[in-house]
Amino acid sequence: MCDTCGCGERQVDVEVKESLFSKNRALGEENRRLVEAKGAKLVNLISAPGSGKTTLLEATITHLMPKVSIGVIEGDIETERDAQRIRATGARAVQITTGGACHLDAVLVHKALHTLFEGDSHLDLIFIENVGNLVCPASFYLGEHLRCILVSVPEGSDKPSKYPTTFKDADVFAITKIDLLPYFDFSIDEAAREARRINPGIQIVEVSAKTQEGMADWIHALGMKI
Amino acid sequence: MHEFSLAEGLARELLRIAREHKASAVREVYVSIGALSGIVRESFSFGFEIIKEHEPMLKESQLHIEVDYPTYRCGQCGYLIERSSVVPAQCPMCNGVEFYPSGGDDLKIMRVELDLEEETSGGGDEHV
Repeated sequence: MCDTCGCGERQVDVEVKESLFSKNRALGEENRRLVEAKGAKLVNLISAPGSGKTTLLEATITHLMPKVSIGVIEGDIETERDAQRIRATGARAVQITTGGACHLDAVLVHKALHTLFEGDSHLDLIFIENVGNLVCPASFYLGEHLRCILVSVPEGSDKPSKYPTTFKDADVFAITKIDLLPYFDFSIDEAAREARRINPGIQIVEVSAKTQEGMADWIHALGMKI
Repeated sequence: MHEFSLAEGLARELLRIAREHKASAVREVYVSIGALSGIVRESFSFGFEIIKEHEPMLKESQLHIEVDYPTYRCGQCGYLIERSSVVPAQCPMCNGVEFYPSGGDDLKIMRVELDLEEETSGGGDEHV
């Protein structure tokens, strides 16, 4: 403003080079330390709505409990429904209702972890069921040891090529509802090839919570034994 | 996506930087958005335009966005495909079809130009 009158106002050029995700990342690391200090493992489940996250969780809990003690953090825009379904299996569950937010962030998960560990309860395995959305949750590290992406057969095998950002940092790609393969044009080969195009190390499992086919592979991918 | 809340995060950081430097206004803002970040540039700038109208300190600021493209390393032969805007279909060296991406997935404030407040001490600059 003062290049004309020379009144003494000055400008300064500030190098910043700072990520806007850095606070979330730092808190994610804190979540990880908290979970490790309690001797547990944190798994982040990401998928579109209706891919069968809750159903797969119910089946997983049934297979692993009581040998493995399990806690679940449920992320939804509204309702306590999923947490109630999980509690019915005997696992501990904390519901986060985001009230519109399209993803969970490390702050929300941090609070939920404290609630989950209340009363010094011992947990071996903690699942975060993220808000149903195949895009946004991928940008927010929550401190997870394992990131799992689910795509169900009715959604189509083109999902990995359409959402490379989501698949590139995942550890496990679970193709769910494989009991429906005879009724849909879903190519396991295409889904696997496209996921590996951006993530060669990704572990791919095919599973149906309904028929139990592939459950052993899924549980193995979680680093657990039946 | 959540571009609006990310733009709010940018505004918060800019205000913090401005306070830290005792600035009177934020001028030029240089941001880098990764091609693999999932962030839509247009929605992000649109969000920032709305927010800055309500912040006197940011009202005159100009947002400049550069895209940061990832590098892909061929999983078979290790060949590097630099700054690619798409996931490569095939490695030009060995026809491999699996790649390890690196970079291009962040949202960063790179550089900010600020107007500083006028000196009120009466030209005592050299005495710090």
